[in-house]
Amino acid sequence: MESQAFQKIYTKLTNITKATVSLKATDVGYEEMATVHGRLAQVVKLMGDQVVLQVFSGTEGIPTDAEVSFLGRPPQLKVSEDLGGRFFNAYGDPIDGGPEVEGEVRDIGSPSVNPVRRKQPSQLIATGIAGIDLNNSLVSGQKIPFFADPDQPYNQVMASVALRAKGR
Amino acid sequence: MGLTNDDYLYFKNVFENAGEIDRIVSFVNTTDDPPVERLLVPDMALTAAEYFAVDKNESVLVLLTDMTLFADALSIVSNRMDQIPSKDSMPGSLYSDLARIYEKAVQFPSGGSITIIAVTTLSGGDITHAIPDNTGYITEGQLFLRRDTEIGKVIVDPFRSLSRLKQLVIGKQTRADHPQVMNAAIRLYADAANARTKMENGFDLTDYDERTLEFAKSYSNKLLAIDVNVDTDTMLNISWELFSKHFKKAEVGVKQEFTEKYWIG
Repeated sequence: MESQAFQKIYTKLTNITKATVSLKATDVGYEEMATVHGRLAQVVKLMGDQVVLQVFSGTEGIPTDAEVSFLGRPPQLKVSEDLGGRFFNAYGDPIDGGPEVEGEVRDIGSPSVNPVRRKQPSQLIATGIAGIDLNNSLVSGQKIPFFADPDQPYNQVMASVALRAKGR
Repeated sequence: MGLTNDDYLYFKNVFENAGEIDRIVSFVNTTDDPPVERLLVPDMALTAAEYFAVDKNESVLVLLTDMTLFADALSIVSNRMDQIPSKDSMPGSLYSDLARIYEKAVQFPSGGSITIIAVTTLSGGDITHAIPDNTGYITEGQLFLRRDTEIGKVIVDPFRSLSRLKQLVIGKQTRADHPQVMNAAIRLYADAANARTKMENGFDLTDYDERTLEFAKSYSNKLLAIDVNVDTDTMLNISWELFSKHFKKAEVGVKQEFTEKYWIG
């Protein structure tokens, strides 16, 4: 977990629910990351100086005098060519035992692309699966889900698509 | 998101064995991890995708599995924050929460692109549930998986699946007979479904009905099944083989120029 040289630490929680804790704090931004009792949390609500933090791993065992410090940034990912071949958790930390990725730091959850900067999708993506390529061809830039019952091998189909998908 | 350990290891194994691992970036939330952490996974994956699509002009495929478990995490959070739940105990913001993710799919003029293929698991095939229902309004079609009891395999159901962008490429980037062959096959497959209803209700079948049933079985097995792996030209050739074997030219009803070229026998 990161620490900064001069960091304000809050120690007075005013409210605790199953998923969130509340406290009074200033200079806090929406979606900012924080640590509560050593657990990662994110700002989900601001009302004046009242801040509500969503604690990802739950609030069980967090005392009312737990240490809260704000990280001053939303969730971020370091991007570079080195991302290839790696496995990460939801916070973008490696879980495959490899080194940290070096690269440019980017905030996640940026807005989607303005329609005027888009082009009409026009490139076929072939998957080798005839139910897709023959009857429901996919096009690059498309968004489409599989609807499947939980007992169907949808993850195997996804893995095949990942490995075979090729443009022209 | 909410991946079982078995599925996590399966993906890891398949990607490593295929020797393609360097072209794949994975963000994983397993069932062991707190469910609320899942909410960060799509944004993490899409941030990585945007780097490769925008900065490197690459074509990126983003696979999201399972978006139903992502939406479940949304409902956990909103319920715990005492928000008033909407349909199926989902938050009222479900549509925009999902759209924010799916709308990241894009084709850039510079050549880079982000294509999103997701999985939405259904409970008991119920597409009226809030998650698949909202998803269907955002995405450009859906691919519906169904177990075909006739052949004992999982198929991509041609009646309930649709890719809304297919008409931009079929017959243009694929062989010219593609749209006609596709439509003819689906029509004959639908005739087979009618014949099956007749049979199940104890009515006599005509010779044509019998032939559509035979055709449907082979069509399911050789083309609709998800274990098929051939190129599009081969798919079209297989379709022509099945047409020629089971039907007369007039019954298939494909333009003469194509029938002359591809009809077998």
